[in-house]
Amino acid sequence: MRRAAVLLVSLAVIACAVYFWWPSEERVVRNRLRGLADTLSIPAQDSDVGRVTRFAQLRRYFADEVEIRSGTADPQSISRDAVLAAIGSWTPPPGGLAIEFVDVQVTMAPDAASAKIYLTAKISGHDARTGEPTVDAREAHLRMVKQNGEWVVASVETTDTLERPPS
Amino acid sequence: MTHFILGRNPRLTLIRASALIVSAIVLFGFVLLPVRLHGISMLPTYNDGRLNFANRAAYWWREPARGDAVAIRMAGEHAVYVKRIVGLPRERIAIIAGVVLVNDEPLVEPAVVYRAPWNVPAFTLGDGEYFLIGDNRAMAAQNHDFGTTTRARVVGKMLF
Repeated sequence: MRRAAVLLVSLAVIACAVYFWWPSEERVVRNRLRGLADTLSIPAQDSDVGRVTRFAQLRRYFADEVEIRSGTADPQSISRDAVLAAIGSWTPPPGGLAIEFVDVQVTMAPDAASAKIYLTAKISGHDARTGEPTVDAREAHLRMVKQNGEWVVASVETTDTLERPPS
Repeated sequence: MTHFILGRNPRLTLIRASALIVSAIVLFGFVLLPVRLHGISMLPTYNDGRLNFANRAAYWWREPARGDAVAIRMAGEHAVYVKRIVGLPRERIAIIAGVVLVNDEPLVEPAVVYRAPWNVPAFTLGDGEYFLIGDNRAMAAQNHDFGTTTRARVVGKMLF
């Protein structure tokens, strides 16, 4: 009886391990998104070397052309360099910024060469005036494509959870 | 030591512990969603950093009502908005000098203490659409997330 129970538990543990660690493209995409969030995050004590390293890493996360759409505006196709320049021109708040992607839903294309992602980007930082912790969140739809063996962001569309009435 | 952990009747203790675990899984997995509030948009009702729960069961048998403070899902339920319902499906909404008009009648909002002179031209909500605003109307309108959402995004009513 005891032996059967041990066998059953062992099988359950193996099944869980296989389910959670079995290599798949979806898991690669999720890991890639975690890496992107970490790279976009800005540490509290940021240095010039750190900034340059981050930008070099960020380059690897975007396609040559990225389609950007915010809310109901028309989509814009901009180059990777323009995306990086826009990120670089932004002044981060003192105390750094932590970006986390939560509720990530990945839908793989049948050929596994592209993926649609729906997520919430959670941005934690500090208020520039009061120093109080702040949390902001935005919904986004991403499309990632596999280029030269690496998953890169090809389009980003931010969505308003609460749709503003026409003014 | 074992006697100390499991008590005089280990079987009863295990049954109690199992019942407690199952109850907690059902309660927090299907009924109550823990929510840590961040930001000032629901002041003075909810302070920044306060812990609350969204009660999913509140709308199992009835639809969301005006005045309910509710949690609104984003891509999922790990990050939610907490806002108050001021407009119901098919109602005509406008904001004039900070006063919300519902079907051209001023809305009494006991939870709102200060009002900046917000203005939103009249519009009509569609089927299954709700209009939500935070209680802190002293903020500038452009700094305050408010607007319409659908019934499917309403997670539950704030417990307290």
